Amino acid sequence: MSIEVRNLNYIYNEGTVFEKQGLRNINLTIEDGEFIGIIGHTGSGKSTLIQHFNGLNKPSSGTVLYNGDDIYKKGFSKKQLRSKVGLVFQYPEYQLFETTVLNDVKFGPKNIGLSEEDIDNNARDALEMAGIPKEMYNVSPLELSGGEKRRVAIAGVLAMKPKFLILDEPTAGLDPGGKNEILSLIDNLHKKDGVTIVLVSHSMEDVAKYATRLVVMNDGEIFISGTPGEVFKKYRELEKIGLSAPQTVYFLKELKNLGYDVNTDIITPDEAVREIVKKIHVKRI
Amino acid sequence: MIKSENLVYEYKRNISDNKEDRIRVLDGLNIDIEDGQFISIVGHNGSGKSTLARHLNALLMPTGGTLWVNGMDTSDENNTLSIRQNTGMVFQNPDNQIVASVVEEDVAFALENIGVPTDDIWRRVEKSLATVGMIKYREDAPNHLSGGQKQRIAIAGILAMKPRCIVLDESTAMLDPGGRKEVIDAVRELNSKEHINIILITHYMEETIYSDRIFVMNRGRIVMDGPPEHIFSDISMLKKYNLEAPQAVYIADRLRKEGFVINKPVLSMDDLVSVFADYKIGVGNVDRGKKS
Amino acid sequence: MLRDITIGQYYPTGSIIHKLDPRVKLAGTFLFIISIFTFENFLGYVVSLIYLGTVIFISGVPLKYILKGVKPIIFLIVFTAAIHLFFTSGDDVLWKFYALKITFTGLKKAAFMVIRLLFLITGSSIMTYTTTPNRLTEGIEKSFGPLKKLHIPVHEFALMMSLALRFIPILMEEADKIIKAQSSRGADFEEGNIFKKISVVVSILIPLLVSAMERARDLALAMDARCYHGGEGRTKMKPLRYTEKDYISYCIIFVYMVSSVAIGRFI
Repeated sequence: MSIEVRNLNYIYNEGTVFEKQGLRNINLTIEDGEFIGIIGHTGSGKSTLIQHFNGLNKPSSGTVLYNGDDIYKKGFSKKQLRSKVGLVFQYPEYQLFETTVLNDVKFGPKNIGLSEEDIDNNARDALEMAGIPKEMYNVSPLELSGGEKRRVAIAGVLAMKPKFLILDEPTAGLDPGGKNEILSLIDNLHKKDGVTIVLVSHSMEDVAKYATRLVVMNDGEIFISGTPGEVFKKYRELEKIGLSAPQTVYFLKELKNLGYDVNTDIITPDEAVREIVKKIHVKRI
Repeated sequence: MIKSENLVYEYKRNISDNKEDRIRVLDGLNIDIEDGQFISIVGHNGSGKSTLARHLNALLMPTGGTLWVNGMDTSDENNTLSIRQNTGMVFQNPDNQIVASVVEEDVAFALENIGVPTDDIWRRVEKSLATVGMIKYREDAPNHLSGGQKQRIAIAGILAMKPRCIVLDESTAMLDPGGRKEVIDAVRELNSKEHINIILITHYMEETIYSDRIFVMNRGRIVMDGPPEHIFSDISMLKKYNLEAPQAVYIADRLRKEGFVINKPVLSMDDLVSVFADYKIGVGNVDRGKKS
Repeated sequence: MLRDITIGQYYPTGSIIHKLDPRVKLAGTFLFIISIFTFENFLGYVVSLIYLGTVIFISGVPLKYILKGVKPIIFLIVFTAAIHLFFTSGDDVLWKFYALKITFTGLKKAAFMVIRLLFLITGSSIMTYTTTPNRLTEGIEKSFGPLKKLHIPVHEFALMMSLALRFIPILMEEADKIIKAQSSRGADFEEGNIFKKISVVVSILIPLLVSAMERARDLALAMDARCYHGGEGRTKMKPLRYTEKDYISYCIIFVYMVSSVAIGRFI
């Protein structure tokens, strides 16, 4: 299974005075089982790009293939596509509208026409995965805390059992506890349930920790892509477009400059600690 | 100067038709903040941070105890307007606090409210926009600005009132890293150059390392209070309150547990690098061979 | 899709019309509309057309933009014209088909109606194209200021209007986003029976309402925090002050009123 973006261009307000190029010549293939991190500053085209993955935006030229099929071809069911390619918007808690948590999560599976039994099972599974306790199933979503609302909204997409899950800054505005709950939920989906993940994030630390591949966007184009190690090695280029590498990368680079023989490909704090313990021999107590 | 004695805030919630529940959000706070300080307040959601912030400019009144801002009791309604001039507030969502459709008119809003003469308004608006580096956007529509720029406009709107204190209630939560830096840089400068008291409420621990003092809040109480090097010396306590330490602090803590001698406070990666530089010149450095 | 709706579009050209005091433009537009409903012959409309055309020309707003404002109400114009055309009684019948008949009086009335509606729309759109919503609100607040003595909350109404204008684009964007989010959850705006369609509409309206209320609450807090306490004792950064060109404009408006009504009614 795969999502393939081919020569995609997207122009906002095409044919009006407000015309503006949103995306320029994007080529990208998302393979089964990947965990892709998309980074780039605000306005670089990240959100516009991911809204093409499930056919919400229509490209000005180029196309998107799902398992080799053109999703913009006549007769291609967008509804089925959207159940396979789940998209979680930024601040998704603002889409909750039903009277109870459980009913809200059922909205997606209902729309794609599942049987009553499947709808119920899917919804309950999704809520369990999202770590929502059973006693909350019948309360109004408006009564939940910010972090809980966010997880219910994610469950609303998971209930369609997507093979691909795309999340647009899912941890924005949460406290550290809420943020970690969401990230470990995503990590579990990837590792245990084999869901392919596309995570749009501003946090270099988060994508360094989880992603298997990074796509860096700038001004509507793919600026660099590759494994996190490869991308963060080019930190000078990232700085040119207003981004940076995780702090750990700079730290190890400084240690190397001091004359310590450490591996500078390391990008997460835990690996850095292991590397220092292994390579730097000073008196310890 | 901000001082409180046994500050309590409670509200009633209806559980059923005739049963009420009292929720205690602030549970006997005693704070004492001197002028010109940079204070950070951290704590997980629901710990009472925002409720405390809203007391500081009399948006909420205590249900028990007393809070004085600049010597004025906040529960006396005659003081409300003076307190709000004295202590400005920047909120979380940049869009929802901009009133006017032109940047300079938004900055003027508070001045119009307190009846400043027109000529003075122009002077003060100009000066505050220049201070936050937004003067060239004065005639723009706020809708076209970035999140960080919108928050700087909000800061300018407060600055125009010539306040002694600015409270930022999670004002960086919805911004990208660039926007966060803009806002933090702006308030750090106001603190150091104009000696304006800054009270920064945030989830990003990295933003708090420059503060004079950090308050950690939990269940409506201040459970830790001290300079950053004190707060971040005990990661296990932070974990208990559902908080994280900045990455450099985390790495230093792990290394200490591995037996590394780190005697000076570590808050940033620069501090951590200097620890290893010290090893090179022999401070605390004896090659330990391969044992342990 | 919702962004196509344009309310109070402003078209900056920096012309003298743009720089006039909003009160002058409000009065001018109001009197112009009164004038076109008093005429009894076509000559009056010729005077109006010359006047309107000159104003449009000076404003520098392209005619294309002004005519765009007419588009949404074409149906209304045709409908009103048809009613007048077919249902006016009179002896001067030109054409008859069962109950339907066209009279010369009807034809004249229909033509008057079409012209009136066209002038009404173009006349008021030239005001909104040359005045920012905020200036317009200020103009309204100041013009209706005397009503404050009757305890009518003029300042509050004006503030509400300007806040609504500021939040319209934000809420439109939000609506767009919610529609996309619900589409991602399989919501379908075309297919399905009436119950499904209602549930889809609810799935958009409720979140929009919740978010609008939240914004309103935030905004009220932010205004309180910045010392807002009603219109009393308020000063203005940009108070409205008449200048020479405004007085001259008032004279021109007066001359137009007298001449057009004289020509339109009594010749």
